[in-house]
Amino acid sequence: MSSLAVPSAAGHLDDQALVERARRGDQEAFGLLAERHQTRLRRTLYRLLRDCDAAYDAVQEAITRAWLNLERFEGRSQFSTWLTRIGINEAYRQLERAGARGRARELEFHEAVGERVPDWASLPDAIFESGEFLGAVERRLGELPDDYRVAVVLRDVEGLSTAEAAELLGIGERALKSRLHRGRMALRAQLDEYFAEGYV
Amino acid sequence: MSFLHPVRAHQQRCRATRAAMSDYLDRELSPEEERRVEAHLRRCPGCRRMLANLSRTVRSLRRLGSADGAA
Repeated sequence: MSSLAVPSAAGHLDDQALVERARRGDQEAFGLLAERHQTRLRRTLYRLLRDCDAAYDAVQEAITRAWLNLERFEGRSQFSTWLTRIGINEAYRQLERAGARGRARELEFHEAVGERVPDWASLPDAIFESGEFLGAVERRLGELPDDYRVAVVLRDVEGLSTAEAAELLGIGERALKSRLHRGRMALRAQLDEYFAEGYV
Repeated sequence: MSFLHPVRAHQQRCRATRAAMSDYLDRELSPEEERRVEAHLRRCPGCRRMLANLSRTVRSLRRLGSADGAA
């Protein structure tokens, strides 16, 4: 679908108008929708899959599925949200197919409650707002085991609710919350190390 | 009657509080659980720092998502 020609005449139309046209079989309108949203979708799916080729394939699959199932899109959410859900589903299917590679690796989770917790509050806000810091967050997010990374991406990066993320992954809300918390805490510990490196 | 050393008792409360921190941030605790977490936070600077750092981590993750949207 991404190879469809994109007419400049329809470029001013919003998503809703393009969806209406696409529902009537206008492939060019759908091509414009796909073009508009695929960069962000690819970034999201890369966060889940950590593989450029796999993310590209998942995007193409998601766009194709969206085209084939467009009559099921009821317009209760944004088109981009609907497309993202389809993409996440596809990416998660790929992770499932890839098997236990990432998920067998349970996080060791020792909370050293007696140790001093670093004080990030003493750091200036500018550090947390810097591209360098967000890049460090992105890299360390990518190092989390699959199950934890997926939970964190869906809840915190993509903003899905606990119920939505659990349903999408086919797990219970308690399991989702457990993975989310472990993922967040592991990332926080990784960022402690990142800040500590700055003092070496 | 069993005796629990006060330091160990405190550490147990730290563990319970830290295990509940994501739910606390997401406002998914019951009122009773929330009161228990807050009572411990008032007494424990280590857990207060941990919560602040975890909250910063979550906000940074949200910024990744909003930066995508702005791109």
